[in-house]
Amino acid sequence: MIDRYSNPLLRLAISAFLVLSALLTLAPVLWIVGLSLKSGADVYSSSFVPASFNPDNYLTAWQEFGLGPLFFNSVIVTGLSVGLSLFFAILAAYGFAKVPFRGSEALFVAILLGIMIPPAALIIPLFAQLNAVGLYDTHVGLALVYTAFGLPVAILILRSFFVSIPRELIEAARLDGAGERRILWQVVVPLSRAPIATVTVLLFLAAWNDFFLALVLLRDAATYTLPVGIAQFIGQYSTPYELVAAAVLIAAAPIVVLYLAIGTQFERGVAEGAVKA
Amino acid sequence: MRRPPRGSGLVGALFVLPSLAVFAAFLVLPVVSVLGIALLRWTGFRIGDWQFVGLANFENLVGDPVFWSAFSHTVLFTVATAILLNVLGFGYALLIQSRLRGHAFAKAVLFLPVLLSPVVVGLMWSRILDAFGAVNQLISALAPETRPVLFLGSPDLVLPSIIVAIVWQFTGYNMLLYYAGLQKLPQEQLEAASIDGAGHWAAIRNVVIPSLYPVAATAILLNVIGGLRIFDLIYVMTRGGPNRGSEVMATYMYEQAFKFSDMGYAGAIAVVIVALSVVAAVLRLRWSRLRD
Repeated sequence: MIDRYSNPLLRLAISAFLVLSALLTLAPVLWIVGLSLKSGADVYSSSFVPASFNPDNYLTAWQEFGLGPLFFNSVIVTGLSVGLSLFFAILAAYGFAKVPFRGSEALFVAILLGIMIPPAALIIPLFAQLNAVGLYDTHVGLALVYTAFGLPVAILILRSFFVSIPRELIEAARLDGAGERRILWQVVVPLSRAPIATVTVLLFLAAWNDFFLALVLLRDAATYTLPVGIAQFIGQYSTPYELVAAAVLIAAAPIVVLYLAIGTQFERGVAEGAVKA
Repeated sequence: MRRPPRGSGLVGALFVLPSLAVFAAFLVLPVVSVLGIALLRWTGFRIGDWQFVGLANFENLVGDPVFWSAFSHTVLFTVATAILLNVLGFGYALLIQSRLRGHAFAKAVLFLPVLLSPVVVGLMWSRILDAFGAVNQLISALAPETRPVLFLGSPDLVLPSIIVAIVWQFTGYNMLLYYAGLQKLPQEQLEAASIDGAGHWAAIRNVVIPSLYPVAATAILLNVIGGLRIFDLIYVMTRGGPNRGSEVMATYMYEQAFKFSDMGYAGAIAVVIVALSVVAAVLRLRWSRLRD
């Protein structure tokens, strides 16, 4: 019904409006691309198209701002937290869905409330706690905090899928003498590739893009993740503009490449994470 | 409900235990202790090296004009972005749903900024709104005599400028939520509406909009929660300036805690953020109970 637009003029107008909106959304990015290719002398000129072409800016930015180590740190912290929260969430979701115990419903609801807690509200006690146990300024400490904030939504999505797995399948495996652990990893998990992918995307985005927690919980510049690193190193106004632009685009590149490769997975992950929250 | 198999009580609990431990240590304990920290005078360096001051931090907060201006900026950001994102998100979802030429391109491009780190978005927009940025280039091309506009340096323009950056980043998010909702529309009702000869707009008003209320409520609540915790974009673009013109609760709390080492006062601000988040959560729960 709503996808039947008979008036050809209206169809043209909508198409034109959609393409125009997309171009308008892209315009700031394209301008930054142009800026990143200008020469230092050229950045204040008001031409949209760079008069000079300096791809070397990317190499200079990479070295000048130490983007290599920043990437490395981000990969470590993100990998650690995604792996840990995925593992813990799969275990918990299976417990809640298929091996219920006394009080498990109440516990599940309590964990759901965690979705609503903003990191900003907890940053002070988290800082003090990590400091007290020697995990302040460490990648492990930061990854544990990401894990805590990621778990509720991960458990929620996985549990609702596990619940839909037919009971007979699990009963049959139990009759065959399989223990709960084997049932989980050899029956349930192989059936759950799609929701596990969705959860992975959500956890990855949250950890990879986080700025606030990393800003507070890391102190030594050698431990900085990418968002903290670029904000601290190039947020200053004395930095050459063309290098800032190049560094920002390098930082954005992995996400853009991933989106071009597995776009629908991202869309599904973000939509499902939102609807379940 | 089915009776759990024998002995599964312990097994089930063991499955949940690792998550529970992380959850208790890094979410429950901090929620409890932030309430306590708000009652202290404490630099945050050593546990126990503090002074109990009762509600003094909250009394100071009530009389602190900077806090109230941060509070009102937070509310302004939250309300303004929630309205803009929902209007634009719903509008674009409807247009994308038309499946006309260009819809896939528009959907992909509008969604892309959602995935970027707010730090990347903030640094980009700082350059774009700068005196030598894209917007000023455009202005000087149209009106060569005007002086560059300092969007992020002027108290009147800084809030709208940041709102533009937020809307640029998150329109695709709301679009996606409404688009997902449109896929689940009651087809029979839509058919009925079109058989009745109801016009396009009447169908949207009478069928589409009412059945999207749940999606709208979810989207608005997520926008509100996002608005209450806003920090990254503002920290990167303005650090809360100029002259606190874009200070929000999270940036003010950060400054009190980690610049001035006044953990108690920052804790009191954190309690306000927790309280507002709880209100949002309760509204959400009450609303979803109404729906069921």
